[in-house]
Amino acid sequence: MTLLLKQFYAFFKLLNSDTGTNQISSGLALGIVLGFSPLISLQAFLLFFLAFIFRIQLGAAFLSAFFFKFIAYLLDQPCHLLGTWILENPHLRPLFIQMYNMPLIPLTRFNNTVVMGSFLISFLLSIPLFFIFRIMVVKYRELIVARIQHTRIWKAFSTTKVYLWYLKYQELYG
Amino acid sequence: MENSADSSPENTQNSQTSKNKKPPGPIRWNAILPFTAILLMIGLYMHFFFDTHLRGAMEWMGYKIVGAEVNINKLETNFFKASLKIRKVEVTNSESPDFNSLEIGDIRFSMLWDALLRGKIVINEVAVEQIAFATPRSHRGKVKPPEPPSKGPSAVDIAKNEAIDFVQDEYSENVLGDIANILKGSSANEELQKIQNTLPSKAKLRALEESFKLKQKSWQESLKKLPQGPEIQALGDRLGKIKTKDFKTPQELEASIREFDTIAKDADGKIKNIQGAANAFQSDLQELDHSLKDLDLQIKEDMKTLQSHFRIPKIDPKVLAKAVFNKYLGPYLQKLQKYKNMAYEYIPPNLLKKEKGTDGSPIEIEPKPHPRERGVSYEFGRPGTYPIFWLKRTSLSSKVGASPGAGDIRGEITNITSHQKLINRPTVMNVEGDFPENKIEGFSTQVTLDATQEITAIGYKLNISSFPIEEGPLIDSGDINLKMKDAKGHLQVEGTLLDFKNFKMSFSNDLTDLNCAVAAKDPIISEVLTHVFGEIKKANIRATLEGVLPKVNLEVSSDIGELLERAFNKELQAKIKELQDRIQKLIDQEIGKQRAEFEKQFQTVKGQIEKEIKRNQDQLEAQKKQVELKIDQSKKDAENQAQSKLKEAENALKKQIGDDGQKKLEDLKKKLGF
Repeated sequence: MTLLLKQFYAFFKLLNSDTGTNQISSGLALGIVLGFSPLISLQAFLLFFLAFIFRIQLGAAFLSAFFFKFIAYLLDQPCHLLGTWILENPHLRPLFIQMYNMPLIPLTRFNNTVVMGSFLISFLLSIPLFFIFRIMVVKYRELIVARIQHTRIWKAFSTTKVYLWYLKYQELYG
Repeated sequence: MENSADSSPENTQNSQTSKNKKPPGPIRWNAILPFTAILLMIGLYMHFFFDTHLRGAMEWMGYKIVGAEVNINKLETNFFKASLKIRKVEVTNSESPDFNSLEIGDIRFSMLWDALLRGKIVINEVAVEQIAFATPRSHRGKVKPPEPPSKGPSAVDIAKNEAIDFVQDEYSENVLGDIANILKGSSANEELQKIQNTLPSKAKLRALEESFKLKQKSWQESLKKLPQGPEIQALGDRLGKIKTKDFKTPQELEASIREFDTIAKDADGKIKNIQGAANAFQSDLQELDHSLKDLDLQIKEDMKTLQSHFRIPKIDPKVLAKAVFNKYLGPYLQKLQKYKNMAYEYIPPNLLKKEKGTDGSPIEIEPKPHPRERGVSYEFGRPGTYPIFWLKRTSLSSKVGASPGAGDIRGEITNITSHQKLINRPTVMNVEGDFPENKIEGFSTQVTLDATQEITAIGYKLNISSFPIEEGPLIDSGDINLKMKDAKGHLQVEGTLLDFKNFKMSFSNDLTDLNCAVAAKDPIISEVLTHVFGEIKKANIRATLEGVLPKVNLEVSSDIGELLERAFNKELQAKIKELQDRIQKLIDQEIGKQRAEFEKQFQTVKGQIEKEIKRNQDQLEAQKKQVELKIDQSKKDAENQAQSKLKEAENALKKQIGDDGQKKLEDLKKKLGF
């Protein structure tokens, strides 16, 4: 739990800094796929692995996954219909038979209508959403963070001992 | 953001420090350590705790499925070999919790990694050893309490209730009690007097009589409206007045024929009236005939009702056999019901579904959808590939003496799978052995589940050469107590279940060394039962169950039934005949007499009306014939007259014109076509 809270804290810290735009956007985009995927599946394991190994903002990924899990729940029925349409497509059947009998691939549970539909929707959404999140992060920094930092309250707060101690802590422990 | 960086000297310093730092690369190298730690923790969990938790989960699931405590002494898994070893499984007997219904010493198997990587479970062989039944438990097993009543019954509950109803409906346990009542004699006369007025046939006869009276009235009215004698006579008079000969002019002839036509039409109209009335009358007669037949059926029904009211038993060996062995067969049927319910609950849904037929090679197998909580999972099978689950062989073995209650068992179960069509092999179980401690010898069973064809077929055979039968009541009513004290049994059960619906089973149980105790209040019953059950040492019970589930017809026969029939026949036939005669007499007195009177009246009225209609019809027909005859006569007369006139004219002309003229006349006649 502490690790998770630390990741959320790091996410908000990074969001309000001027670096890590790609890390946050990729984290949010990966979170979509993660949120739409079943928790116990090969793709979820791979996504976790990617999130850990590559410098993707974990807090953003977890927050996004948490949020999109609810969206995925609401979209179960359309996902099921899309998945049914794909899995029952006779042209794709040889491919699915091949995939179903290959090692590891069945562990993705691609043969489930909801999993198939959710994966397709989330994968297709994640690419444009990566760029949209990127623009949104930049805009957020330009319009909201900068405006707050120009307020008198913030200026007054930034001169307080508490804030100075916080900066010192940041410098020492990161 | 640059503005914010400039806002304080500390921030400037901070940004300068960060600028000096090397920018981090895309790979998070420092995550390797925590990642490794997580993997290590998983590994440690699997090594130290997983087996315990799996054992607990399996015990809990066993408890939920069986409804009684299931204990597993030791469970070991091996990740690299994908193997599982289970030592000593005990399944509590829910009816007797101090004993196990089943105990298995060892279960060992390993799964194929090749299949596991494909998300399937394939096991080459499972060894199940040291099987024992009815072994004592170290502590009393926990038994699942009955489920609280739910809002609506489940499908399994409905099936269960239906079957239990069937068992209760089919048996007539109190036949011997009824026999005792008949032998005692009863106050049948008084009762007959009481119920005679409540017989439905009597009410039906009354209603029929009322209806007949109304019809009779309606027929009389219809008869009055029909053409009567004077009307028919008037037609004859009109006919007599019409000229039928000596027509002077063609106009005279034409006028006569027109008059005849009018009379014929009038006669036709009247005939039609009579015909219509006759048809209506016939339809009423048919209706009354039908009602009479209904009345006869009701009388027969009343006879049956009275017989069942006075509980006249059927002295039929099958009925007697059912009565005697009802309680004995009950537990067998309940077990059958229990296994049916378990099968309905746990058989994979795909086995209950039909698949489309497959032709050619390679066979393409339709994707099989499995309903899940979220979405539907398809099984894209192909012949020769792994199904989701496949247990190739389970070997069963047990040796006497290895544990208390253990039997000498050998057997195997082959090809337990989630998709038989993929492997194209049926599931077959063959087990045989002896349980000397329980005095069970020559036990063998064969079960086949074949879902490779269009219709899923289950075949089963069970044979036990010898087994002891414990003391138990056969009949336990107030008047009669019949108890089987001791016997040896030989059991053969064989049957099929097609498409999980069409059920067929034959049950054959031979009892030897039979020892029964009889107690009956009625001395005749006591004598007969003591005579039958005191002397016989051997008996057989044959039962067949056949039908479409959950409705199964049960037929039971036994040589004991035949013995009882012979013994009771002599004493009982006269009494039964006497009571049957009394009932017949009552029916004859109360209904038969009235029915006969009614029929007589009905036949009389029917004859009268038919006669009246026929008479009118005949008269009219005669008048109509008369008209036709007269028309013919008139026509003939007119024709004769015309011929003679023509001849006269011809002769006169001949005289006037002479021979030459004659010749010319002949030519002219030829030309004119005469």
